[in-house]
Amino acid sequence: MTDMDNDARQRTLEEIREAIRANDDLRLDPSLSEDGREDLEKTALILRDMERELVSEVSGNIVGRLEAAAAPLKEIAAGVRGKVTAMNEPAKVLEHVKDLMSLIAGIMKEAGRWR
Amino acid sequence: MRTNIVLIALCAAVACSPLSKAQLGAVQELALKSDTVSRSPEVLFREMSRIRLERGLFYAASLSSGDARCAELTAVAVAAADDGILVGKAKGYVDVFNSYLRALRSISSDQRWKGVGTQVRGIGLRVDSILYRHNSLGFGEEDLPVGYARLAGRVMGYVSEEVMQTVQGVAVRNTVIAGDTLVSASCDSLIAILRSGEMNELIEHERESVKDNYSAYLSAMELAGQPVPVEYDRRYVELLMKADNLPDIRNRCVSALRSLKKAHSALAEDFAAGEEDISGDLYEELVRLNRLAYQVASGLDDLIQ
Repeated sequence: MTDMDNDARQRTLEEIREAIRANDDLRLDPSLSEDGREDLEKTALILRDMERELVSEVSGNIVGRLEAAAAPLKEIAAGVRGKVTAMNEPAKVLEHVKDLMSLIAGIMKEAGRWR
Repeated sequence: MRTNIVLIALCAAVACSPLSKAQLGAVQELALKSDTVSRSPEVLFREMSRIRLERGLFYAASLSSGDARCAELTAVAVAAADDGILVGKAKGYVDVFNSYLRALRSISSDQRWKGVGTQVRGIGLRVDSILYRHNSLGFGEEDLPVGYARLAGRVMGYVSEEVMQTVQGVAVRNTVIAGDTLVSASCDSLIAILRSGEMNELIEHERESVKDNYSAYLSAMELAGQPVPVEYDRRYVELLMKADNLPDIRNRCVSALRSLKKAHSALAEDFAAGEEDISGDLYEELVRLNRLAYQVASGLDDLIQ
């Protein structure tokens, strides 16, 4: 998004706010007729929809940039997790060996009881 | 002779650990404090979405026609759901950034080397236990010597811990050095996003629109001759305070991200230069990051309440 696009959209968001404000001042005028108020409430809904669309567009642009900023870190994070997994392997193997030793010692202890 | 050579080589390896405990602690501290800072975009988006929803409710209540009010409420609900998707995507960014920090915290943790030593000592104890049982069962003509396996287990446990610390030190050092360019680039991108015209736009829009929408509601209640519950006024004040706080939170996050970037770079420089302890620059950056991360966490907690 270029700076010109940003400026154009920023003026539009400000303009939308101004338009909503101006419309609300008119529709909430005590001297307005019921028909007039009904018409201006329809206008209010249209302006609010425009506001929501613009806000959604701006938010979407920002989130898109966030995703792009984070992408390079995905790969390096995966690499580090791989290293952590590799570093955990010796301890896991040793734990299995230790468990096996415990089992053998347990069996021999039971065998001793029966002898 | 061969045994002596092996023992000397192991001792040499142990003595060549590339990082001190203080340096590994600094990596842990960096990764822990950065976790708070990195979640700020998600929190900012979520809170703006909540402000938008609530001011939308006030605005809907300012409409006199049932059809108009229903249409506005439906549109507010749809927009809130769409915002939820966006917040989820912002969270996705946070998860990626945090996955690097979590991986860094994990690889620099004590558990990477303590586990091996514990297992080796345990094996020594169990071998001794087997030999004891063997002797008590009278399998052989002579009893096998007991006690040496436990002693060997203790010695090898210590040696294996030292070896794993060396392996860990190399891994952490290489990770921080290799990751520094990407961490700097990601921090710069995030700072640029948080300070962008679009972000300013969104924040300013919410700050102004909270006042406008509540003002419309109050005018409509006055027109209808209906009193406004003081609870609504209280809610409006809370929303206004949240909205007014958004720029401050954003600015604190930017400062903390700068500190994170500097601290990570200082670490990488120290590691590349072969420093054996934490340099003064790194210490100052970690203290600054600690303080800024606390401020960001406090600000985010106030925003969420």
